[in-house]
Amino acid sequence: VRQQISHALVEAGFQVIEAVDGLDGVAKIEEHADLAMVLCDVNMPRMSGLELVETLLADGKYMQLPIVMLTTEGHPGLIQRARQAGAKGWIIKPFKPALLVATVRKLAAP
Amino acid sequence: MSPPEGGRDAANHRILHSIVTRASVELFSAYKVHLTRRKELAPTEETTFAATIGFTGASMRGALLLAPTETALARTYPSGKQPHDWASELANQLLGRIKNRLVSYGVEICPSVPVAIKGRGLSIVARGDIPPYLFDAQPGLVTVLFDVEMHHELILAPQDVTPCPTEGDTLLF
Repeated sequence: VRQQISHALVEAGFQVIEAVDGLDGVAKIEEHADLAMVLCDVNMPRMSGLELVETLLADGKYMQLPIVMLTTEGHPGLIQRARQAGAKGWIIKPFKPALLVATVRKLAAP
Repeated sequence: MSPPEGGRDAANHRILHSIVTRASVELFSAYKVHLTRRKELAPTEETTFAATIGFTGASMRGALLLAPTETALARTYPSGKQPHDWASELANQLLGRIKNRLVSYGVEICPSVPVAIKGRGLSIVARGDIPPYLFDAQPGLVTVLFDVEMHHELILAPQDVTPCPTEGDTLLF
């Protein structure tokens, strides 16, 4: 799925930085200060997507960085938790490439 | 095959039967593959990818197995993708659909990590009276097994809870 997402976004003209799990995601976000947005799954090895959102947005440093969850999960409680933590969206797999690109264009716009 | 008749367990199994069948058909439909139910397992020498993923929960635990033949699987996965990885992802997406449907019945399950194998002439051996779900993908075959242990007091009945959004939905906050 990560490759599919990357392919769809690269085709649309975006530059994509991939991470293999939640902890790697946090490291990549800290490494690249110019990121326009983050897409992440909920169920990931080592650190879940919800923990990632809560970790990043807790100290206010990344409040301007839109984070969207892309997952098979649809539990309203999880969606609410992500929303409360500051995530900007929730996409339930399977994703539609055109819709994903439109969402990224909207949220990643300067 | 159909679930056993009569009693609370049978009623639960009937609901699960409906959820699993519908989730399987809708999953493949999302990838433009139309599944129809088969009554009998068709022997095939074609390579089959069998992906399994376990789950736990307070009222339900078990495992899902999704086993499409190579022909059926190939019609769903993007070029360049490793088929066994994709089989695992499809199993993950199928269990996600089932999990999201179960929320409406007040049941929460927590999936584990999927694993997949491939082989020729694989036979799916069901446990006890748990029937496999057999589908024709025209061309190709898909077998689904949802092996589940339910808490003895569980009664699957629609609950007054917020339903999960539909697969493919995008929610912006």
